[in-house]
Amino acid sequence: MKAKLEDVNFTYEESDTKSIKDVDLSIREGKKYAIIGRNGSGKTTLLKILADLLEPDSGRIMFPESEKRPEIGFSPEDPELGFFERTVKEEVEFYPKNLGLDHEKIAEETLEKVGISHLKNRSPYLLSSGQQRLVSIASVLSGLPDILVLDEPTHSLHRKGERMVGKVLNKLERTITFSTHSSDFAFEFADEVIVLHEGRILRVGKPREVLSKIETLKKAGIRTPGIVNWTRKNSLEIPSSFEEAVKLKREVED
Amino acid sequence: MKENLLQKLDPRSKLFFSFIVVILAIIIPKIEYLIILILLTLILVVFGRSIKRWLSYLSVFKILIPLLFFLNLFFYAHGYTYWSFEFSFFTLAITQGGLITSVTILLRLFSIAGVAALFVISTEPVEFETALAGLKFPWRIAFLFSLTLKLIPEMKTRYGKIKEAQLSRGLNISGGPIKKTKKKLPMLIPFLASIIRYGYDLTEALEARDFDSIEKRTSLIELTHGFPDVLLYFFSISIFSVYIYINFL
Repeated sequence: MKAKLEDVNFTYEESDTKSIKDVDLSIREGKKYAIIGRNGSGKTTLLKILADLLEPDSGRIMFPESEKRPEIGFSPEDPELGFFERTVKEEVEFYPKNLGLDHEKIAEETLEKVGISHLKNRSPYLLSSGQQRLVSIASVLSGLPDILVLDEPTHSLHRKGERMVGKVLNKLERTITFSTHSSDFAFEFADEVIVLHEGRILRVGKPREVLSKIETLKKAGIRTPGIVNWTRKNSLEIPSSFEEAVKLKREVED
Repeated sequence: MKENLLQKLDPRSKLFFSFIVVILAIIIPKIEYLIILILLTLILVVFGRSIKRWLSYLSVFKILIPLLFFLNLFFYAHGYTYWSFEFSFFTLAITQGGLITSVTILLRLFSIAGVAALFVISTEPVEFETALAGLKFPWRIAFLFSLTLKLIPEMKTRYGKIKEAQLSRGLNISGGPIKKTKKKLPMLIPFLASIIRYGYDLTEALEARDFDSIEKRTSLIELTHGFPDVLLYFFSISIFSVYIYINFL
């Protein structure tokens, strides 16, 4: 197990109500977790607690596998807020430079892995939203974090942009926790889905199990994924993965 | 949503109270009266259950307060000397006069900042704008003031987000003041870029809504005075009258 949150509670200074309430959560090595819920449900707060940017009022965060706190990289909802260098390459070099690593080599490898080597000499401010999101992911990935925490990686992206980011996440082979509003994105790219509602975890489980529970989705204000609606409409069993869903759709259409 | 009585008060009555406190803070020369003035503001803060937010707004003064205190302490040195140290070309001394002056200036600053923070935390910028327009201020000026009010928390939020983004990429901002300032450069650039972008976005949004073409504007918000507002006016006039009576009559 990579990280374990036990009975975590958090209240913002300027607020009287708890943003995170009695959260228990286990993050396993190499898995991708999607935190899903409506605005103000506590998604960003929970991610920031995990990334050590906020300290919980009570409860514990444990890292059973490591003696010291593992490196956790956090990519904010608005990627532009983190940019300050002249070029994409310099931006990606910033994190390994701070850690005293071989920044040039790591930056090249990371740009290659994320598929944005062709953008390395461009200004991060002048890229499209999707490209900026990839630069933000690369700039966090270059610090070789044990856990990658991404706040709304698909924010303001269309479905094609969402899938581009998702495919990059699939290639990374890391423990990733991200928040999203898109149930389609969570269904396709997450190994586990965490449904948050008013700071509490409503349900945790495989996307197929969680995102087919209409009552849970209704309560948490989440749209039912397109694939779940389609299988219901055709009286079919909900597929366990996106790949299976695509296969099933082809079979039905043929 | 308006959560407490302080937020429910009409911005005009709060503005009047703030105005009285600022006037008194400027004219009061005595430490004990300034302390009473701060306590009166504090009563309203406690009454509005906003002490945490009020303190967080005042936290920006935590560097300015000791700086001002020491500057005034040494540069206004006069009267009985408690301690002194002679350098080759000047003498550093803590005197009774210097101490009184620095504490008075600090309390004056704190009273003005305190009542300003109270106003900011309890008033929506759009209400402030309507209140100023109701007081016959030109609409552009009213809008400018409300925009300033809106910009303070916006800048605070943006700076916080940038700081988080950089800290989570291994930025270490510990060390001495010069080292710290140098290390904060990665935060300053996106902050300035973000504020400039905010300005452009705002200009576009205003132009898209015909900011320049409307002569006489209307407002969706209707401000009304309630009984608590009357009490606040009475309270403000009372503290001003009491001070004038004690000192001048």
